[in-house]
Amino acid sequence: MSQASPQVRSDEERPLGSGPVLSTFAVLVGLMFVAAAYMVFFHAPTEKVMGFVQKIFYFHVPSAWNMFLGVGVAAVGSVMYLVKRTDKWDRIGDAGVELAVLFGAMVLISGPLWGRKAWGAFWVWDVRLTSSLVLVLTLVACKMVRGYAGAEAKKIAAGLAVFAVINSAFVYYSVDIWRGTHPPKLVATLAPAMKQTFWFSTLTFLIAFFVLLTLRLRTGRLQSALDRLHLRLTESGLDD
Amino acid sequence: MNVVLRQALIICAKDLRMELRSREVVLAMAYFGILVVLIFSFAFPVFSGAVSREQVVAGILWISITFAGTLGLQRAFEREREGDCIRALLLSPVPRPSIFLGKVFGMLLFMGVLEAVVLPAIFLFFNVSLPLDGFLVLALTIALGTVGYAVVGTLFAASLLRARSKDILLTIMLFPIILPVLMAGVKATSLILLPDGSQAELWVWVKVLATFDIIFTIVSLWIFEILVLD
Repeated sequence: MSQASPQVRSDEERPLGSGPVLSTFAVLVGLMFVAAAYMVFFHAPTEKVMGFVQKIFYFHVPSAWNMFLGVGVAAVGSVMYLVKRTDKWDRIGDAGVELAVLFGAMVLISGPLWGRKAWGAFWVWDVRLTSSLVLVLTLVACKMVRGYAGAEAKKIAAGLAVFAVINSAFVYYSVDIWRGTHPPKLVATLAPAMKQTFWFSTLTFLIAFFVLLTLRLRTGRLQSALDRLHLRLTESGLDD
Repeated sequence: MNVVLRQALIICAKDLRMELRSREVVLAMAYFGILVVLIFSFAFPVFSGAVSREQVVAGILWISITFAGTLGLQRAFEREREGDCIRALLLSPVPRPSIFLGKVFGMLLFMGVLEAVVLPAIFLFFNVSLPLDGFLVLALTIALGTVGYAVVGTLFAASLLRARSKDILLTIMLFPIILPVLMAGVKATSLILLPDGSQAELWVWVKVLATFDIIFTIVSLWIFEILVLD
């Protein structure tokens, strides 16, 4: 282990992300969430047709965008891991999967709450609902594989993530032929105060995404550093 | 009796403790339950109005293919693991895609037998008549769906060869990915069985199946190399 290759050494000794910058952004994004909630309730006017329940939209849509961002990170990380087989890409892929599941869960919770009022049902088998659900379920499967599969879990999880991303396109297309009731993309048609609230909320979510991503990658690096230390301890016979 | 019961409770407590630590069984079961709901909602699409008998028959056909297929997939690779046959296969001077495609062809044959048994049974029990000219299209639909299923299923089963809890994981990985096949298969089949089913719509679903097959075969061949080789 003392003869470790230069790459391994440098990975081990890399600083674990700059603490102060990360903390600043974390605090900032916390404050922005408070401000965003304030804007949602007091700045943006109440929508004429749907009324109060429309306010879910300001958090629902940014969550959905963040979910796709997470899926993008997961796709890039997983493909790169399958090609390069370095732990760094595996950690990026895993972080992307986790963030996509997190924001996907927010989408899948906030959506039905709105749907109950607007459609009269918590769930309808619409294109985006169904494809989001299947996507999130497949990514949850990735996490389960990672947890249960044992030694080869990383490879299998990365492979499954690639399938999940391609598959969501198929599900989207299939349900689209079948039926569709999701409201069309309406950001461009919003009243100014609504637009301001929406974009502020989107910015808040975007920063939150990158804060969480950085944190998750940091945790991942710490985890593998810990694993390496443990391995070294075992090899030197100091461990039980 | 008291002793028997007390010991049983101790053993139960042990199981509970193990489960609380790994949370493997309960999570997997809950997840599988959700998947089954999803699968059935597409096999029997009550959400798009009243479900006709033809649609129910189509749903039952594809669900039986989906579920019975996993039995085949589990066994196909269990045999390779016993006696470490897969190592011999990988060491032999055979191009890697041949190994994968060979396993897929085997799966296709097994599933073909399964379908040859299930299909007449369904027509018999549900008293549905198949228009004669519809038989070829139905055969094509089932064949395309089976290819997609076998390709993805074989890849996942192969990747889980040396994994822990592979039986649980195979269905958990396979079912959500296979949903488009199920959806397209059910839709196409019910359009074939319905006397006034739209031909144009039928061919759209057949094309969805064909596209799924092509794309996932390419991706699977690529991933197989990486997943199984070392």
